Amino acid sequence: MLGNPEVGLRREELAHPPVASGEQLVRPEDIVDLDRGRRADMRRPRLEDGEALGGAVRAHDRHHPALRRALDGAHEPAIEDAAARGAVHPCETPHVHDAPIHAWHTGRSDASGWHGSVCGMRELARAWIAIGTQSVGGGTSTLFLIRRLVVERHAWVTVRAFTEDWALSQLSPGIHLVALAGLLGDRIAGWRGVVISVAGMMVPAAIVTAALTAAYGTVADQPLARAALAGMAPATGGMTLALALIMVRETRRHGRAVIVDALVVAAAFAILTFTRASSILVIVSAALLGSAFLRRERPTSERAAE
Amino acid sequence: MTSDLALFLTLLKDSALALGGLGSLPLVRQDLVATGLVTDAQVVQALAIGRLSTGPNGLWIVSLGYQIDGWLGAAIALVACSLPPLVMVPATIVGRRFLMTPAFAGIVRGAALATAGLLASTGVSLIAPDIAATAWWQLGIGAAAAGLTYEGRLHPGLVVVGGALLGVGLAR
Repeated sequence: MLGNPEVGLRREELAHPPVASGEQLVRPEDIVDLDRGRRADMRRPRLEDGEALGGAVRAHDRHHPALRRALDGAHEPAIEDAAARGAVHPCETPHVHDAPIHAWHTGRSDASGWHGSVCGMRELARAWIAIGTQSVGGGTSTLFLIRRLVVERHAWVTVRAFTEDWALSQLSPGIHLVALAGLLGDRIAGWRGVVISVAGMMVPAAIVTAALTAAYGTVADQPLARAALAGMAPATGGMTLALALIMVRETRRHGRAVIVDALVVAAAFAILTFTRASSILVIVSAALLGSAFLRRERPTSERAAE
Repeated sequence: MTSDLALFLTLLKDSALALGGLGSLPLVRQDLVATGLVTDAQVVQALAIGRLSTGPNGLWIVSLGYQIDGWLGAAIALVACSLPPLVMVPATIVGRRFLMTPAFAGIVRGAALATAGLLASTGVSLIAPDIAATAWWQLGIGAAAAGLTYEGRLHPGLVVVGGALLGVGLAR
């Protein structure tokens, strides 16, 4: 199955994908040059820092050590060797001989050996529950744990497929990690995988969050808690401000185009600060403006050559 | 029941129109704080708990939902914030090529830049809702938290705990 010519990716490419680090996630010939309308290979787009998505998304912070650890995969684990030695439980190697290669190209899983497997579903649920309950602080720590379990430990998807789903998830509305869980779940086990992955990650974490809120509520009126809140308010405000700066850093273009980007940010800031205009109106207007004026300033291939 | 449905639709709309877990903060604040359903202090509490809890950052909405309507509110908030991102699953199947076009890239970039501006405004107003009534040490905490978060060298939970400890030491 892995040698399926329709798919075009060989077994050894799965075992040793052309992914060495976050700097070079796919081979140079895979670069997709959308601005020039050329697609070198649509089946294997370049997705490091969102290049194949028209540059809409860059890595949150490619230089951030935690994110680099999360996204960089040294190598795929030698699952097949481990399975052959009997060192890995069959549940942990559901796809090795069939599914993910095709899934990687179609965006959906056709893992016949995986669908309906109670053993596999249980393992999938267990992994996502672990992600939901063990990653503290969200963001990169959750991403790191997802990668460790889904790619490295269980090898349900390849590094390349994980990176593609991560880049696509950055285009989603709302919580990007939910989109990532849904895309990975779909790739692994279809719609049931989506439900299990998202519910497994979100429900236990939501219970923990609500329980913490309830616990805090019992002491919220105490003078000590109020004093703590007086310090937490500017801390969360500062973190929100930093997040805004990080979003700008990720999204901004280069050269003269950065002035246009800065003007959009400044306008949104001023509108919310000094007027009573709707935030939704601001976002929708900027999105419409963006489709016309905020595209890439130059082809991705030239950027890549820098 | 009607208020629960209204809460669900509000949070669903705010999540659907935001990018990222905290991207909905300006929208939620405009919808819920401005209308008096929650206070800014409750929003801060939800943000702090969201940072200290497990799972994605966006679960701060669940904390806010709990404060509004207990476990039912938390469940409503959970569903409301979980549904919008899942649009990507069918979208990548039927519109994969469109997602890779420069036009869509521009839409996302425009929304992201606007969200950044809105978040910056929200962050400033959380640090100093009334500049005349804000203590110097609160401005210092805000600046330090912004710097530490931007650099990414300290766990966000520690930033929140640090702010709380400084508050206990300086606000009393």
